[in-house]
Amino acid sequence: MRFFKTALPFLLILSFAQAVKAQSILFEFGQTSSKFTHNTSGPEKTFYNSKGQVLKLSLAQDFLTNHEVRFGATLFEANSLGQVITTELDYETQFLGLFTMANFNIFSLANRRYCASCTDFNFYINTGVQLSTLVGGSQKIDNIIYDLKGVEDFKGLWLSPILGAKVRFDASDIISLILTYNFVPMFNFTDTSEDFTINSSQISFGIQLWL
Amino acid sequence: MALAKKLFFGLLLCGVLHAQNPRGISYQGVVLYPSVELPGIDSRVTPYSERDVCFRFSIYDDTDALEYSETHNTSTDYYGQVNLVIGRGDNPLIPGRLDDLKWDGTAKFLKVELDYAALCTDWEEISYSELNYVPFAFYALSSGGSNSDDQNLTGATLTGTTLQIDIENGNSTSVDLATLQDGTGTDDQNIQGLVLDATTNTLTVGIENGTSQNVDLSSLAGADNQNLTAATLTGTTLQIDIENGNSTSVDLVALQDGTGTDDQNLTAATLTGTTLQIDIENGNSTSVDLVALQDGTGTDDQNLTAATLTGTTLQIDIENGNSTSVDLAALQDGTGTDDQNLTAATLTGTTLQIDIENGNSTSVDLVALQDGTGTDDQNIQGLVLDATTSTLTVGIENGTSQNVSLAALVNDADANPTNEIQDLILTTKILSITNNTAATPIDLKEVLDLNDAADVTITAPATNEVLAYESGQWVNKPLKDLKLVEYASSYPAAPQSQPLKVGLPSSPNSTDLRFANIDEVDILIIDNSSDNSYITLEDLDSERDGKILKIVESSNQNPKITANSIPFYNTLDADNENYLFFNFIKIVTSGGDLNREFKHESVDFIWQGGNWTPMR
Repeated sequence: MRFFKTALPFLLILSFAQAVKAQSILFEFGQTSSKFTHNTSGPEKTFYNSKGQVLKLSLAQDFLTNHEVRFGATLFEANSLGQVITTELDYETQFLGLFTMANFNIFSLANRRYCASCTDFNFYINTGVQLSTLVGGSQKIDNIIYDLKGVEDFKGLWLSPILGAKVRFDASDIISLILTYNFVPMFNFTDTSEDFTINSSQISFGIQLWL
Repeated sequence: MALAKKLFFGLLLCGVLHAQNPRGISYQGVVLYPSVELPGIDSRVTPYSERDVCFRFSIYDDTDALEYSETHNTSTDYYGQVNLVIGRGDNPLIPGRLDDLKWDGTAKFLKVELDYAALCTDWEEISYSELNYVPFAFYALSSGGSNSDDQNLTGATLTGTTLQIDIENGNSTSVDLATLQDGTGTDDQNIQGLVLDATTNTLTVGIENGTSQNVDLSSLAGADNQNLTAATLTGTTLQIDIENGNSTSVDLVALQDGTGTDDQNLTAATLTGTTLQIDIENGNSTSVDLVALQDGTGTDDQNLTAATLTGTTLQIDIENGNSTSVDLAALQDGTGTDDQNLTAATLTGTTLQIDIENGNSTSVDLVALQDGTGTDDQNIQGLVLDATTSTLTVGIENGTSQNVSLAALVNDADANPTNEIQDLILTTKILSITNNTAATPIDLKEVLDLNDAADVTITAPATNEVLAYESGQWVNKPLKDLKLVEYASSYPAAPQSQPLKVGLPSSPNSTDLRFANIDEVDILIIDNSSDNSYITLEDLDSERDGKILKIVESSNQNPKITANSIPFYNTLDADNENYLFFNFIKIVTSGGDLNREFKHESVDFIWQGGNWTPMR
């Protein structure tokens, strides 16, 4: 949680700077489930999923009626457990990234219980791209902890395609509730010396404020 | 698999053990935890120390057919070393025991596999190599040849990190033990750089090619300025305590008088015959002959034999002695008993008589308990309140009166008791109270209305004068002193510094709206000097307090003054008089209709509290 506290002011400033031009602003928080893959010769390594947290702040603009294009910042954890021979591995990493995403509305379902004219359930398919960098992390091998900041395999920029889905519930004219799932595989294109990727699934809940 | 071989450093020492059953091939190795490429920091090569592992040894013939296999569950030592004997493992596989194999000189291959988790299921192949030399002593055993397998190791030479092992009738082999070292190659470092920091009492011990260590010697440091902290005498032992040191004790018994103490107690007194022996603590006993205290008869052990009470005489008899009598009459009252009861208590006046059984009555005069009058039924009398001094005098029958000051109950701000009750007096229209010149008088003319006709005096201003309210009173002022407002289509805001603005239409008519907005004038004078004049006043109900409307009626004309809303509205009466004579005006006020007859006089109205009110 510490890195969330330190980065939150940055995200707020970024959001306010762009808010006047955006049609809506989205604030999301949720959980990640990540697993490393590292294909090298040598003893077999096994990695397991581990949970983390994600925080996203983005601006959205409608296009072509009910589709959205979004631009935002995200702070998330990509943690993983692992084992090689008899050694336990535990990775905890934090990334800060920028993303752009297009949300294609596939259909809407009116919620006439509350408002026959203005309340809808909207279902979207998400596609996008994310650029992120490690802001902190640790690696534990048999209870010895190493700092991963600046370590070759993790430093530099990570490129990630984004594929997912979103459900938006329009609670009122100014507030919508959103539930998002994104699959975000991460590739380090700064350091390609090892076949190392991080597969992260993110599920988040948030609000969308219409400006 | 190739990497796994690299990662396992095996030191293979093979020798055939045949002096005992079953025979076997000794195998010694060091299990190292491999350096594994990991995301982030790679794991390092370290001895796989003090862990359970499982080995599997398999022997293949030259056709790669499995001839023998067995597993070993074992543990590594601190350095990761294992010492095993192939042939003494668990679960030996087909076709039987190691020494049952055909050691006929054909090539045989040994495969070594390792399960790090010691489950004996997940195997990492460590090596697969042909058996040479020593193991082929099995061949020697089975061949019946002249060779023997009782060679001895003839030497083991360590050169640098290389250990060369020589064997009788065999080839030497060398093993590089560099991995067992700390990397620097020698263990012969010297101590260097011994530094004592007297300030911090720290001794720094340096070592060649190593990291120096600090030792805190402050506990050894000290001074010679200790003070004695206590001296405690317990019995004859004096204990002396010293600062930062050990206590010591001194036995001072030699300073005594030899007996040890002067506080001995007598421990016993024993009477034997007439001899009294007295014993003392820490001392010698002494005896005293008490025979002189006897009466010659030899004993003092007589007993009282009887005690007889006859009347009040008590006779006491003693063994071997004379009786004696005691008269106890003095203890009695003469009647022989002390169990009398009080029989009565009678109060007569102030005299209390007390009667006793078998005794004389006695009386006590209780008059001293009274106040002298003999009764407690006095009444309160003579209650007097002195209003001047606020003192209440409370008198009592047959008693002394008391005064109580009630000044605390009186709130007399001016401390003048004579002016507390006052009368209201009305002088002309001024209401005031008596006996208090400081009280504020109230001018009631401000609250009178026209129904109080008898009290209203309206003084018509002289020609060219208006009635103005100045300095708290209404005064007639010449019009020349007023600012006249000339005709204009609209009136800009007048400067507030001008105290009085007057509108004076000379000949108003029905279309004259110059006074549509009379905000800009303080006084509007309407002089109905022409026939059929019409004046329409707008927004009268939104005027501010103090605005004056002056109507001057100088002839029997027929003015019509209308306003757009009540409360000021002058509608002439329904009878014809109203059209002929302007001598009766009906004024509607918030308090009801007010009829007032005006004849050849002027009347002024003032806007006050939301109404146009005739001015008095």
